[in-house]
Amino acid sequence: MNTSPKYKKVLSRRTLLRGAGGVAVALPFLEEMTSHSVWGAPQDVPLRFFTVFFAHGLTPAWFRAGLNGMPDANATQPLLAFADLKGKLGLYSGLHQTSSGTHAQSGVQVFTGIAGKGSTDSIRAGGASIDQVLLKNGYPGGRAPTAVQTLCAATFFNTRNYSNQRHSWRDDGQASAQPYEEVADLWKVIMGLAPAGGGPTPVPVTQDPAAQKKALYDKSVLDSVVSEYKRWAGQGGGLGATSRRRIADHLDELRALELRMAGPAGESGGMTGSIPLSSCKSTAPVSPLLRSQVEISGAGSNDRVVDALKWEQLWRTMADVYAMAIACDITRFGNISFQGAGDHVRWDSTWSFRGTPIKFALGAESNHLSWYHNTSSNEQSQANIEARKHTTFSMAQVAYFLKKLDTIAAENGKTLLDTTPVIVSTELGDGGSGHSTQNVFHALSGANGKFKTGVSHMFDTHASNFYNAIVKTLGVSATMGLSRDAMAHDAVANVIKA
Amino acid sequence: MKLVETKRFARAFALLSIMSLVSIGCSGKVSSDASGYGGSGGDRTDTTGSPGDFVPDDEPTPPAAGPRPADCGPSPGPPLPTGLRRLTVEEARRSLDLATGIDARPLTERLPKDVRTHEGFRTNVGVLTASPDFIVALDEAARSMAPSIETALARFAPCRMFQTACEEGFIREIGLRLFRRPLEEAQVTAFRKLFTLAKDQGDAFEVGAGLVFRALVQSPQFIYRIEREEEGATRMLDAWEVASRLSFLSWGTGPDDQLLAAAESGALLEKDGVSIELDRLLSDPRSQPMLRSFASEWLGIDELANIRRDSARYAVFTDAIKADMQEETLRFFDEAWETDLPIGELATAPFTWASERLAKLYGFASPKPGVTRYDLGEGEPRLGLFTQGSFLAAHAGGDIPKVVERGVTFFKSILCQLPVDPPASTDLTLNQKPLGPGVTERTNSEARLKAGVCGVCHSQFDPLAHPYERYDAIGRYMEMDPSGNALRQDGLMSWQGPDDNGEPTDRSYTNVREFSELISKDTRFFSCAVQKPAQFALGRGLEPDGGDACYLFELRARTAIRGGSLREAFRAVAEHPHFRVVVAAPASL
Repeated sequence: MNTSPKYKKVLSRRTLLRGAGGVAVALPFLEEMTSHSVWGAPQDVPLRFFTVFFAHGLTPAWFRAGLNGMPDANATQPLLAFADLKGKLGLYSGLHQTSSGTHAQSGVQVFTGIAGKGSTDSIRAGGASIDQVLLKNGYPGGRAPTAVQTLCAATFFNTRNYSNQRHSWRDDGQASAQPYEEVADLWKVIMGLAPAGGGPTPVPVTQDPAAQKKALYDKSVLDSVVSEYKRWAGQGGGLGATSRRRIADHLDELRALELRMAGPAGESGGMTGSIPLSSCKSTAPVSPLLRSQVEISGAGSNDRVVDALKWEQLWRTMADVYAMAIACDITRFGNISFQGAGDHVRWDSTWSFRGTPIKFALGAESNHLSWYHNTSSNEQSQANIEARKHTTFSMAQVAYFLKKLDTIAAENGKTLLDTTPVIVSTELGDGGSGHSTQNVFHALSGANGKFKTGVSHMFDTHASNFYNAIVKTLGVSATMGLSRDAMAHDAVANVIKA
Repeated sequence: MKLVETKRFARAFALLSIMSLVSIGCSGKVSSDASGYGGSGGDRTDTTGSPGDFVPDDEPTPPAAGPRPADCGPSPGPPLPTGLRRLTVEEARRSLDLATGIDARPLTERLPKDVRTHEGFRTNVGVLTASPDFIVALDEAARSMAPSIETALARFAPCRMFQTACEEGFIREIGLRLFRRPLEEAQVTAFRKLFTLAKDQGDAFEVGAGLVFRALVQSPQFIYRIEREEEGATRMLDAWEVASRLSFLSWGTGPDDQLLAAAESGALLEKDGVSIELDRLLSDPRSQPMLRSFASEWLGIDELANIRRDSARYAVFTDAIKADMQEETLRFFDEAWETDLPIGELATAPFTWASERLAKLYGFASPKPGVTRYDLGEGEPRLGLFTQGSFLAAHAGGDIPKVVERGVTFFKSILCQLPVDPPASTDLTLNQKPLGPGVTERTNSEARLKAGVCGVCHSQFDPLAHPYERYDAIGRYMEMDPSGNALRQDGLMSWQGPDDNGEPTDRSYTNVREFSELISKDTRFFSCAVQKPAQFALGRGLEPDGGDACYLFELRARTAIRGGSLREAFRAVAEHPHFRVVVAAPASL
């Protein structure tokens, strides 16, 4: 049981605010959440874990070259995208996934460390992803005391490639949450407001009797709904285990509704644990852009042309809102992805990287996927040059999100990037025409001093050893992925542990 | 509508059990339980139930059904589990419309769109989750519809006073429609508290009814298709659950009052009860939205509106023409359904439905105003489904139609075959040349076919695109490409006929018409078209070579015996014994 005075203090303030607002509605659902929530031993930051995915890959050659900080003639060396984060991350390659023949198969192994199950068209994960392992084993009952258990968001194209675009998986092989593609939907959940070109607009707490009555009605309807779900979620409800779990998932997500009824997090305290309330308010997107506002031409599953600058703006909006969800303690686990595994896209317009204009080649097969598949040992070939541009673009987007986290104050005065374990990875390794999952790139943040930062290392081991080493170092007792070899886990831990 | 006495259910179950045993006895197999499924969903090897007369033993199985899988006995064994399934947004809207008369468009306007997986349909249980935004939007939608409660009150409220009879009467009647079964007493009592709250707040009866409505719409028994499960066992569905399955399969909605009455009276579970209702449902015009959803999702033409082409080259590919193309295919399906067109003829039917705009795009001799039926003569380069603009444009893969894209789509969606992915070491650029004078997609395709390692797999699907080389990326017919290359339509395909015993043979064709004739007789097409309704109705991917092999064979055989139309394929799904039972999915599903 958590005995953190900080946590209790915030809750009581929240309850007080409700009372002061005149809406005399109890919040049993939230209170119930706190009754079984523990962080484990008292600590200054709660357990969180996020994964960040980008499509295609970073070859070992680019990994090595990037560590030397030497841009090529086109100013693109993908790892340079992380240059400003040097002291915040550990950079790793030489981590192998099980061989795969498709992007769906390679994509599903990222963060799970094990091959997927099922046929090409219906691949499910072979095991839980690391964020879900930590959620399940890091909190009693596998539930964090947040409104949303797992939050996934992504920008990608081919919506039918289900397993290419999910990177948070439960141990039963099902996606733990469907990714938000449209930032407005994500925003609605978090704030109950549509983007309006600025920060969140607080819903005023009111003394108005009509508003009080409305709140009472809303709460009573929700109570009635929740009690119906609880009835079916129980062992005696007459449903099998999988069906009960689906009902329980719905019950979990009803907390988003309850959160919305409670008003925005910023002013009232919302779900915030002990993150400074100003953090929650200061993360709103600066220049929001919706997916529906981005023109995608030449559509077809393999042939999309998109303005790179628009897509970057869209991603940044998504990244900002996702960061806000973390800052407001709406969620502690999940994934954010820049593009789906195997996405075809041709970037149009000139993009600027570290002050140098980058022009992507356009034409048939001039998409990220094709360039990456055509890479060779000749780094001066057009395919290598173009693929590096694309990967640099992708990694720059990832870097934007990480830098965003680095601007938000956490509970202990450090930044969210300093305190939150974040792992970045991709689907492919060696490049070339196949779908090699050898030497897959990973980056890992410091997690409040638990992992080394400012270092790099070339492993030669299965990625599941890396994931297990992280789990173990975070003090969670669980194993995951393909490798159950404790010695191999320890060997990796010795490299990454601070 | 009154609750049926427990005794009547007991009689109905007893009758069903006796019927099952009789049919089991006829086939010489005796099951250990009355359901005829061996009583356990966990072990599929020792089940000895019988599908009864679903596929008569005394009648030869039509060749179109293909050979009976080697390890199939007289019983298909228990079905594979699906688990609890959420309604699609469209199902929820239609159900609410039908049940209450309230305009339920706020559901489709507010709820996030359901996604479709490669497995084909939006009804797939794997993607029908309830995300936070779904839940928030459902609350918003229910809230926005509540002021329209008058429509429901007029139907269901016996009176409008804060009295037990008025409150319970309304809750029971609207609850029956929304939950698709009678509410339990405890539920009625719980929902009545919302009336009490409205009364205590000094509001009218109608306000209380609106609160009840909001709670009902968000409750699991509305938004999920709940069937009681028994852990580790196979359970016979009760009449209400069967009614729900029938209505969702036939109309994509909850049951109407007539079906609920058949469930309540027990008639639904009596001999021929399901068939009688099924006839009614499948003949009703209200089956059309379901059929259209099915067709759109199967063929992947529901995404046509999102497809854009080079605006200079394809200026005519406007939103209006895309809508016309979709309507052509849907009207084609409407007619195929109404006339019980055999599945094979979907590929060769000599008619189509086109708007004047589309008729001009196709180059028809005398375009007529409105959407009109056109007979397609021998000289027309179009026939059946697969030369329609919607299908050709949706799967062109770019401004220049790609052989692999079209071929793989045909292979997967129309023949239900799974292409093998290239090995990790494959050079994907082998012998591929830039398109231009002297080089077409066909040129590169033939180079792939000749390259040993590529040809092994590409020979399965590339030739399925070759006959469509003369249709550009929006489905226009042309005999020469912009580079001046002559376009072909001949080819050689790996074909699987009814007498091939599962072994495909090479067949050549000289034009799209001959190719379509081959497809119409290819057992893989028939098999796929029978599999798709099952997939659509069951809400899960099927395992044609695994746990669903025997089930699918029985569906094929039944469909073929009854004339082989798409409607019969739907009917076979509903009349199969699997449709009457539920298996609890294990925790690891």
